[in-house]
Amino acid sequence: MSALGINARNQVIARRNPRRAIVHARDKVLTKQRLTAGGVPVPETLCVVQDRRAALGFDDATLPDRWVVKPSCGSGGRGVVVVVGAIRDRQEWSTPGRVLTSKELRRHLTAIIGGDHSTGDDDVALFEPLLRSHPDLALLAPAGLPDIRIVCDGSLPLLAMARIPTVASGGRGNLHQGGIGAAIDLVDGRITRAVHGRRPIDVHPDTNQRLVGTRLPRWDEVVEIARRCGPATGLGYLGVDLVVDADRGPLVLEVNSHPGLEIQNVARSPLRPARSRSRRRGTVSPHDAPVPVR
Amino acid sequence: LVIMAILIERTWDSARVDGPSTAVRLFAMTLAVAFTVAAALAELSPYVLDRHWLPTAAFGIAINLAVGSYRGLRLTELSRFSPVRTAQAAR
Repeated sequence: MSALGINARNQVIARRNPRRAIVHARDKVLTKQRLTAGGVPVPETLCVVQDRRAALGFDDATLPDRWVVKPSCGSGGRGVVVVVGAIRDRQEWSTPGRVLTSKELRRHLTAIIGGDHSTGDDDVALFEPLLRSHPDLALLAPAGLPDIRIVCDGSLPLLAMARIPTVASGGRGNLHQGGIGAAIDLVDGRITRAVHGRRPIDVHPDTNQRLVGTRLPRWDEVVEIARRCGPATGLGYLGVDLVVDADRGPLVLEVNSHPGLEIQNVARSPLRPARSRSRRRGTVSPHDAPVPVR
Repeated sequence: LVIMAILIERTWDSARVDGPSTAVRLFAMTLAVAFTVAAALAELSPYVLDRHWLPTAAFGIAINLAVGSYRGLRLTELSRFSPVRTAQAAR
């Protein structure tokens, strides 16, 4: 069977993902509410800054030492600020590469609320604590936070991969920015294949840590959580992005109503979603069993 | 002017996310498609449209239906997903 192309994927999305669910999935605050209601663990919300007045009067002294702020309707990492420590009694914040003052933070919040980093006209700013990678994953990727993408057909996982940051990717897991794509066996959570760019690799290029054959921590929980995201958000075909936090375990970062197709090249296996709405409730037949990634 | 502004903005976004080479390639491909469509439309003279509007419209609708209902791989995807096809064939 051939790989799933953009045309076929768009047809699947048109038939399986209701318009309202797609709009909601683009809003991280709304998505977190829906996921929480559906029993899906998500990162804690520190606060949501809703309007310009709240942004201008925002008191950052109440924030913890390590946090992240992002536009609720942003994408591709636009407008995301990661803070790794407080400086000068919380008057300044340390971010990778520079220092952020309280005044600059408030200016950034007004930019987020004005929609500078979002797809819509205006937006809200979402504060979350900075997550720490599970020790087993931190070994694989000392720079940045590796995440796991599982493409699901309703509640049925189809393919999974980990996106592992490198020094060259600047701590980001995005494959086109130099991150590593690692195909994961859905059954036992082992990395079966890894690529850096288009080049197959067995070990991490920065640390020589072995990737292929490594089993990801708490895999059964990761898959079970991914299964719940479709029913919780109303999406029939979706990509679920998860991390395994050192303290709280697997958490869903976001769901994507238009998941990318590159996962097929990483896994060397085609996506096979159903073309109709009949499987939206997650009814699984033996024919629909997940395709092990070998 | 508006289309060019959107195109340039998309190119900047694409350069930031996907890198400059991908952005330039996307920009060039979009312009190539635009010029091809413009050249094809330029061939439809007012005389042809006036005398043969019905078959022209029917032909346009047929082409749209055929292209719009195509669900196979796009030309660029044939090479993009060739590793998947090769792996499947090996199995």
